[in-house]
Amino acid sequence: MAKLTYSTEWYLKTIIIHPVYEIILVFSILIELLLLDLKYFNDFLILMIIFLLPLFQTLVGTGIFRDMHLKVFEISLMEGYFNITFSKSVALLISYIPFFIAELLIMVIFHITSFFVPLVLSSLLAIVISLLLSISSNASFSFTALAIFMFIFPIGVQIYIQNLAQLNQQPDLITSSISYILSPLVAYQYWKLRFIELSPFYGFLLDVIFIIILYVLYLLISMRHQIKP
Amino acid sequence: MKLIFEHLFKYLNNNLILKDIDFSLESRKLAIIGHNGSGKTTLLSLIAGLLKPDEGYVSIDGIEPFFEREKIVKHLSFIFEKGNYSYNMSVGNYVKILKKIRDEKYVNDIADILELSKFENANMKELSTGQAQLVYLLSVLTSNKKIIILDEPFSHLDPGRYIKITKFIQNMEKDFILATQSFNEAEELCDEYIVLKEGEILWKGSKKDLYKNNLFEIYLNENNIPGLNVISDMGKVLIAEARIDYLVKLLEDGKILGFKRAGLRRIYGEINLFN
Repeated sequence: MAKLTYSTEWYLKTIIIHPVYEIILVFSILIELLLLDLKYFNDFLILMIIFLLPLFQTLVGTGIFRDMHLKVFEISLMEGYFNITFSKSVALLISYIPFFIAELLIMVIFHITSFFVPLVLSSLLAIVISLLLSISSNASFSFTALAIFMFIFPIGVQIYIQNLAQLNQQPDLITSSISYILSPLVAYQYWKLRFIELSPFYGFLLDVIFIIILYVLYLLISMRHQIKP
Repeated sequence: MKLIFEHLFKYLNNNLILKDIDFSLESRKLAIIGHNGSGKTTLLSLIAGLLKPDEGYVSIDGIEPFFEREKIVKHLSFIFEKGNYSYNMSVGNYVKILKKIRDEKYVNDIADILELSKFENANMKELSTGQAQLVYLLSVLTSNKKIIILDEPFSHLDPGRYIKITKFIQNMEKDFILATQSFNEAEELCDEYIVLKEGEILWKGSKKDLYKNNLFEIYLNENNIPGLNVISDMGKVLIAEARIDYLVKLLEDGKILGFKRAGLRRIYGEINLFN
């Protein structure tokens, strides 16, 4: 247990000790507070979904990416594959806590707390994708792939549903499910606007199942994959 | 430690890196010697459980490293000679974290031997290769494992630090496996040797096997010295058969600078590794 605590502390330090983490956290909260008047609600939502959230998710995820030689160093230092695999997840979760608290406070103040659940699910998805990418021993590749996933998914879902809306169509069950998986926040936003029929209950349930599958996959792969120093 | 390899093959990126590695030995201080690309690091990675054998079997003290990874990382500690750190933290902070994980006094003692205080305020990202190597060494030497694996751990160290650290390692209670290209390092620190070339074991033996012949490494001051049965000529160093009293006379006459029993240099000469 002590080893697990130390390895979590180690990963946490490499994430939140980074000055960019604090800057982005404060910056996003300030921007949100400035925009979050009900008449700017849509601007706030778009800015959060397509820019601030992906930026934050990418930067936090990057904190656990390592090149091959650092992985080897950490395995020897932490003395356990499970230690490392598990403590990375815990460190990422802890890194999101200040963000979640700030967002929840903003949402409570402005009575939009229903967006908190999809926000948390979006973040959990970002966490499991970051964890899976952290298995790669090429930190630059992991960073690029994460940034692409985090920025492209929400925009892609948004464009797709908007295009359908312009044609007076709605996504079918499969594409609605995929929308909930790729970007719970966007899907929820469009459900509220009645562009998606699939209810958040099923959409979020799908998210939870998907997150669990990805996490189990991460645990299995990272415990068995080969590392060439 | 007891090390067993049985007909082991290892491919990386479709290239055969290790070919039919088959040996078993019991040793406290093992050296793996070979050129760049001979497969030393891959062999060590298999022992450390980082890589999986494609064919064959490997075990150390009864543990199959890749298949018992949690066990093996509690049994041995390792460093590989690669790159620098990209952590945004000072060396001093790293040492503080290490003190929480390991025995604090032991960390302090070894940090003193490695003279880490001289650059404790430096950021880990900005260390020179030699400084990074010292930080790697701190991590492995402070572990309480039975065995340590060292992949060219001294290649960037200055002579002063090298002497201090090797002295410490020689007196350690731990067993170790050292991969190196340096004959001196291997001969000074180890008592069992494996020579690799292009993924194959060309020679394996103990210190006794290494020095069993009446052959000497002779460091020349003058060329064309008669009375030596030269086995291998490396310019200013000869591997030759000679009587000790004759060598002493050559030394007194200033014709040679010194001599020592031929060890790994002889083996390299015999198996044509200098070519």
